[in-house]
Amino acid sequence: MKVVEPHVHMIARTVQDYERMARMHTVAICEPAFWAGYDRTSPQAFHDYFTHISEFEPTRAAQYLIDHYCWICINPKEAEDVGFSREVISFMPEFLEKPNVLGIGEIGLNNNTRNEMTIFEEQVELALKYDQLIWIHTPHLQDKLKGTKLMLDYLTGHGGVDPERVCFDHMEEHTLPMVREKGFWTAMTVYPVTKNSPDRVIDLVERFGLDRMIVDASGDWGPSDPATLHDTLFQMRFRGHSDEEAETLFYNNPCYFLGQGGCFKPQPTRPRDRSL
Amino acid sequence: MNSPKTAPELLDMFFLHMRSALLETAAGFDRIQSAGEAESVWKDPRLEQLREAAGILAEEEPDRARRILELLSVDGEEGA
Repeated sequence: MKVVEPHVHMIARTVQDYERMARMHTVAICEPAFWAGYDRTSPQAFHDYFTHISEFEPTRAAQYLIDHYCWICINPKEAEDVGFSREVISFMPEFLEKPNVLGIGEIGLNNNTRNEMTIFEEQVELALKYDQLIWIHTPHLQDKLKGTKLMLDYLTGHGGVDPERVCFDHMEEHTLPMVREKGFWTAMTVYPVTKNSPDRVIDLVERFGLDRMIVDASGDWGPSDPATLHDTLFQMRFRGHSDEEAETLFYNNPCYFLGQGGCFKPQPTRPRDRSL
Repeated sequence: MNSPKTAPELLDMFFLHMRSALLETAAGFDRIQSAGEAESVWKDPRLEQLREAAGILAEEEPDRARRILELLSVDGEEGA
């Protein structure tokens, strides 16, 4: 069964992770733009970063027969500096034209501040102007509920945002239902400690259905592991679900969502069934 | 999409994992209580939240994971 990893920061991972993912039948991966673990010292550093994830990482991935795609944005953690962020946003359009850029992401909130919200809103406008998909980072731990509500309220009240073209990531039991109710896509991250376990992901799929559900491992420079995605696929089958259902969750659903953007090459194995 | 497994099957599958997770939390409380300066953190809001979360586990009402996550969240009502 082919697998798509919808969220992984390969700039922070080793080539052995590419090899492991390839051996676990991962055929495509998506790299959102994110915080590097430290604040960049100049907007130009973002230009270099965007070049890295849109040009160099695809060459690393290709050695393992994996298609590499990326998202471009100023991440929420560095969005607190509004002037700095606007300089970064000014050169983002040149990257949106590249053949492997999926859209604007992972934008969102970190500490739920006014400045973060301002830059989130400006990047939503940029996505709409350039007809781009949007990938949203929701805050960590105790800040997740408030931040998710803030962004959901903004997007639903905007009037010009199509929920089918927006995915909220890092969803858990207290945030996923409200986002799904508004028609947006929802992604669940499987982490060793601070986000979902494989079984909690399957619990949510059993309760809320397969359609508009995505799973990712969000491997980065912290405690994380790309293999948690495949652990979850195994656990879904262990709990009695069919290969067809697992394929919908781990391959077809990312194809349905990401395929709206035009550059994502993997094709779903069957038409989307919104009743699932 | 319902679970293909019955409740008795799920209990057999998960009992040891649930037992283990509960014991890890209990042992964590013991570890902190028996360490030096325990009195300085014994009423720490984080531990108080875990005590309150333990109460949710024992309730009959469903959605325990959601309710515990809401308990562990900061106030979601105010704007940015």
